[in-house]
Amino acid sequence: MKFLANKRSVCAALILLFLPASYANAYLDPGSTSLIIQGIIAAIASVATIASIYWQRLKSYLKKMSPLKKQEELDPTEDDNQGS
Amino acid sequence: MDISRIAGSYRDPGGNVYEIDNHIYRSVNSSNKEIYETMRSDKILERCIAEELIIETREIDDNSLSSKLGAAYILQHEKIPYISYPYEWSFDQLKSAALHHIKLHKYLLGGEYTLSDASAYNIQFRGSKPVFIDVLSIVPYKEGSVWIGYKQFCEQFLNPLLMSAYLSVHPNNWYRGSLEGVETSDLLKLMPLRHKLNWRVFSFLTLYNMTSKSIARNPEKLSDSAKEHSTKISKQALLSMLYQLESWIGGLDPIRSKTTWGDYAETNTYVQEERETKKQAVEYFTKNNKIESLIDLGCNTGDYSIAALSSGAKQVIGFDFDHEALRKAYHRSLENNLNFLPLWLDASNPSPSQGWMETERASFSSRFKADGVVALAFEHHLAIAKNIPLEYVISWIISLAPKGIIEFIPKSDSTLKIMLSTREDIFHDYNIEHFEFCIRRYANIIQKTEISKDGRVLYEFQR
Repeated sequence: MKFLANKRSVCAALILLFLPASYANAYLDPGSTSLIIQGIIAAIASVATIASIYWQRLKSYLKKMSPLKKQEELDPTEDDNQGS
Repeated sequence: MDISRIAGSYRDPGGNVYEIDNHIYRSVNSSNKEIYETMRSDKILERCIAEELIIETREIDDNSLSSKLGAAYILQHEKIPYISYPYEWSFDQLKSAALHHIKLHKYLLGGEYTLSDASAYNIQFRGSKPVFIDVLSIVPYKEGSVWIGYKQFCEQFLNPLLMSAYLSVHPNNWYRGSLEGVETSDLLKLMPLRHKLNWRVFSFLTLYNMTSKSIARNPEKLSDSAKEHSTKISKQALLSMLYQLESWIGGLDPIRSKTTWGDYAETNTYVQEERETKKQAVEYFTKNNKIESLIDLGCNTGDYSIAALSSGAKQVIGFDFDHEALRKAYHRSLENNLNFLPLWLDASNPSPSQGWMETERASFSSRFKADGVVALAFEHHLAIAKNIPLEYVISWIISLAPKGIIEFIPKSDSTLKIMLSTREDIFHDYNIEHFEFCIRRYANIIQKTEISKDGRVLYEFQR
């Protein structure tokens, strides 16, 4: 999954992020901030989204596994006649 | 033909919105001609309308109107009868609007389109459901382009919601003052540390704020960087951002506190019989006068608004000051899919006309006029609690509609006794005779109904 087409923009953003910042009085169109930092925010969001997809898959896998295990423990000889 | 451009519609060079003979039209100027023609062939507007994402819109064929407005195309929009602003919405309405915006944006990206801004004023309520109205901000999507509306989305949707959820402060007063929402830098200054450590706050707000501050200090660095390394965001990444914001906002709830009037409908000083009498009076008034649109002042959780709707009213706008009551009212409206919109109002300080040229956002009184008004268990909140002379209160209520019902609350009422218990009783004129006298100055009294033994009386008036 491509989430950053431009690694250089990440470096630029990181440099700007850690420049010494003090109380800013200069007026600048703050909309331009979005352009710079969105690369990083998008990257974080993408990682979080991928992580949550895998987490959902894991959860549904665990759900599938546990009731069957309990069934086997209780009645190991009974046929599984729970149709879908 | 009386053409008037909607005062709030001026920023977009691509077109403006006009009201002509009670219809709403949007001009598409020649600068936007090609984009509009592409949208038309992709049928993107039709698809959004079918999904109930945007308001009903159709192109109309009127050469004289197009030349009058200097437009390449004219679109006609469904008219939203009552325009409301984000600073008049309760928490759930702003949350609903934010989620709707994201839903629309995701849908558009699926069709290779995107939104060019993220203003909360582009959402209106049709009944109780949010709908997007600014069709000219739907533009073709270019792969890699950044989300232009990011800052606006944070300031106008996310931050005010976080103010309620994390700071337990309702943003309405702030929002009405700034018009453009809550700035990220301000919100972060007020945010408790435990919320600042939240990874989402850090990612979406803190990083942005840090960059903002350092750019402001070193503007030269910005222009070098912007020219050489323009950021590209893939569609997947943009969708991830929208997905994360959607799940964050979807899980937000305001910190619930027991408000004074939130439980009113359950715990008030009324007896069930008295409530029934009032309900019947509203039902009778609505049916008898064929009321189509009603204003319910002090609507609380919407009992009487709903009674009016079930008696033939087509639309009810409710107003209340209590956020908990408004939440309940809004939930009732949504659950039952009613044409009932409860809004936040401080009646002693209604929204003024403001913004650019002091007309961009219209005043309360210019937007909210109806066939009827009911003000039940309401007048004492202005006359006693806010020290407003009874005559002014009554004339204001009567100015909202030609017919209505106003309830008089006597000093012997238990609620009023509590109000007066901790202060000097300076209200020497506050009695039923003076109340009737004040009504008669502005309207005729059609009917008088006693509600309770302690002296609550309903007055039906007609101008």
